[in-house]
Amino acid sequence: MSSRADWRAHLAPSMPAELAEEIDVFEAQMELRQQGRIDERVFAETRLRRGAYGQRYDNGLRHDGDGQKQLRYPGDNLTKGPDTLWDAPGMLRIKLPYGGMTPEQFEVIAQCAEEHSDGILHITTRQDVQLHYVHIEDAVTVMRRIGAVGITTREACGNGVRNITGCPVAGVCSTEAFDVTPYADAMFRFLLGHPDCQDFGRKFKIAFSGCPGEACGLVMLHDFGAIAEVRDGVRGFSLWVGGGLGPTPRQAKRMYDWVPAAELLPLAQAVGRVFARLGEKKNRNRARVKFLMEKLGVEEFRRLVDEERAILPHDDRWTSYLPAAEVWKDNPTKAPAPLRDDAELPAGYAEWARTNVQAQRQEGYSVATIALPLGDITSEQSRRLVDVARRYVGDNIRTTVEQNVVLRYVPDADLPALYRDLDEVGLAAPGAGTILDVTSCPGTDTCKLGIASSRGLANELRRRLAAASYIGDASIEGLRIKVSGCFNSCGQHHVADIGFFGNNRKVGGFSVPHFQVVLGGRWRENAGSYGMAVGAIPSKRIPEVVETITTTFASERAEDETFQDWIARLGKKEIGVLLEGLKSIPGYDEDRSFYVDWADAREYSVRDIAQGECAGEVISRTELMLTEAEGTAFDAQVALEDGDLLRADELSYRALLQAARALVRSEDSDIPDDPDTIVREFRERFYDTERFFDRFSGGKFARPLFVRHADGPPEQPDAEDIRTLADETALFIDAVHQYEIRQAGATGATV
Amino acid sequence: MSDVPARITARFFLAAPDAADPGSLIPVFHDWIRRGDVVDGLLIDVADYHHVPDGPGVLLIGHEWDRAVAFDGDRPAVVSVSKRGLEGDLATRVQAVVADALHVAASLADDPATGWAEVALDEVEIGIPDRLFAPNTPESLAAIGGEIAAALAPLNDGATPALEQHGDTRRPFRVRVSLSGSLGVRDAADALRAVAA
Repeated sequence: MSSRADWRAHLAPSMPAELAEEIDVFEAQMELRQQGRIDERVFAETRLRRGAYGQRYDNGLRHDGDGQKQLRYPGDNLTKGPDTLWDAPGMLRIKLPYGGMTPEQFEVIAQCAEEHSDGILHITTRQDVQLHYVHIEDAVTVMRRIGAVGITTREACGNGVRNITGCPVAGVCSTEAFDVTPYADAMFRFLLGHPDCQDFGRKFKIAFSGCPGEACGLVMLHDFGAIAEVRDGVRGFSLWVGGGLGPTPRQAKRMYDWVPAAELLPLAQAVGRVFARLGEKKNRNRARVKFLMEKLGVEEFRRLVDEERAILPHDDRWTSYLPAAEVWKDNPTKAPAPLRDDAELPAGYAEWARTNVQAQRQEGYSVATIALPLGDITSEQSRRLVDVARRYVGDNIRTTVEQNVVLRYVPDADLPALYRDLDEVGLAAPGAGTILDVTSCPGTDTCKLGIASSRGLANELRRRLAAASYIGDASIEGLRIKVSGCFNSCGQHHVADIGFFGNNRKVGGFSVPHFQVVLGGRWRENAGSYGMAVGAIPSKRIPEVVETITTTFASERAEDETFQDWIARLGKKEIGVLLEGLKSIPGYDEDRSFYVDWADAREYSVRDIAQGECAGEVISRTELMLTEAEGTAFDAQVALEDGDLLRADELSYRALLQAARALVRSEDSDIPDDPDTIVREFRERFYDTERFFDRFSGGKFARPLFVRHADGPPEQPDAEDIRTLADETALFIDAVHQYEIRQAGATGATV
Repeated sequence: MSDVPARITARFFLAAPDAADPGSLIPVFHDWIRRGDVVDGLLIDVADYHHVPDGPGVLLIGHEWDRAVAFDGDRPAVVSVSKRGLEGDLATRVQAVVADALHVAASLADDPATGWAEVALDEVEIGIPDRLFAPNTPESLAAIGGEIAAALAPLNDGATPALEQHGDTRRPFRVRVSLSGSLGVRDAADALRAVAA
């Protein structure tokens, strides 16, 4: 295979310098970890913040149905995180803000999937793309390849700002106040790597929606959400904070009734600061914003945010994008054109158009949804879809939170031809947004936390529903089914009409996969309310649950009664009666199929569940910044070995600054990335006060920072001098570490 | 650029494509993991993608190899993908991958549950999913086609087989190799392994 170095050299001309350097530093951190010079916890969080996630069985253990067996990877038990073996394949998550991507970006992701993964692109419920079974060393090449076309994995995992989701029909929808795309885009760029978002105890998810009524952005289930609203001719947003799913789901609270768009970014920054300062750090189960909101109350939370907002140093980026955002427009490839009444329609078109095509606000254009089974699409299909997109819509491609892809700005006259083209590549399945379009998280297929096979169940439901005659009933067809493999809710089961999450029950000494049934969640109104858990049912009986619930609803509902109203009317007790007969489990010797999960052949076990990485490792910002400094110092040594003296000098100096800044930032979170300020602040706070000094060496390890800063780069680079500088840089970083350890010892904190 | 790619694919098409039953692969592949001695390398898990139209089917994921019965071509095929650990020049590696695919096909065909997975030996498709090493261009074919063809002569009664390249330059490098050898599946695998060794 072409090596990382091959790809690095090949892509160097097309990589943005800053991103290239970030990935170089990560690569250096990998090498340091391989040498045992970075702690596995620190490397885990570093890795997660670069979007490289663990995957099931990466602790080297797997239950094969008879018992738990060792997977003997090479590599001398080297780890890339606690209980996470270096050589075990992992998942790489690629962020697509508001689900947007160009044909070129789509094609590069497809190439990466077939060269470094298993040839499948998996669209997630937060509009990302995930590649599975990626070796950590290939992950770096993927980062470079997608980075060269303007997309990133940065902070796709770990305790930071995750992908920003947004309405996939923003800009073309008739119910929106205005197109939220440029605002979501601005926030994505503003918060990516923002210093105020590096000290979170858990992840932070953001969503945008153009209106309150539709589902699109699912604002209510996010840590921070913005819903567009125009007041007195001014664009602005209502801001919502503290939503979330998981075992303790919470609806977001309206923190600001309305703020002008100019306040959007600074308020998000202020919320980030409050969360970083006051959010839980030790107990990861209580570390999301929703718990802080609950503890403080919305009024106090807002007061703290206002207080923080008032003292924020001004940032031009808060408003510099606004003039362009006001006039932002999509760029359709083709002119609008109506579908003629006498147009020849291919077989299957009418049904596809009924469920998968939505008229745009712009007359003569439509949005076409490509319904992907379980969010999966192959590399080859992606390439063919890219061709179709280029032919009809150009850049107007988006992923959706229902794990589909939409093409926007399809001229109505082209819809039959589009259908034919999609059909040729197996992408013209009807049923988008209907009960057939079942959403599922990865579950036990690849997730370390999965309890039951969500994808196996979802696929079985799709198969049975496609063949069931009863779904022709209009009241049933529009229902949504969502499945999660565990209570963490990545399948968003809380906001489905019919939702499920995996759990386990012991029967006669054997484990039996079950799904908790959650009914009546409200998808519309931005995930307006959460469903009611009504009991656990054996996994193999869940298809019967769906049939029982849907057919009973169709036959017994009052005229115009919604599913949510019907569930509320029945209540838990009556639903319990309805499902009671489905709870029974035949004995192990009578029917072993109940003791095996969907799409599996092994006797069911929960022993494969491992420590998840959703929460990441809570590592201090100082520690992470020092790890970056170590990566840069490592690159300096490499440059020295390559004989590139000026680069070795420059990288050593940069590593010195990074380490000094890490320390200053522990006391001043606003320390800018400016060498003069860093050196001055470091000197005043730590050197002149002798706090940095240790009892044997005094402050001598700080001298290279001061000397190199004062002298600037050498005019005549001398190999010996630069080698000394590189060596002293490593000593300075180590001295900063030692200072941190001394401080932790003094305060009893964990470094 | 590295001289030899690590990732090479070999695919043999099913003799009776209509008989393919992807669901039956799941218990068989799980059993192979449990037994540990059916195919080479560390086996990790089974990935079920048979819900994806024209997709990779059901995969047996390993550390060094992935194996599958895939449905992503014009006919279902038994596929082996080498990912790491191969040694030697390109010809040796191609022989190792083709031998593995034949061994996988024979092992599937031997199992009553997947007896439908018999492959035809009149052609094999070789892929190199590494665009930097071998873009799917006539130049790549000129550079490495001869080596691939020569490597597969043992499956063609010693004669160098003909290659046909897929035309789409955006796809990974892939050639279809026409064969007219007289060996059966197991013997063909053994012959290639002997040469590769």
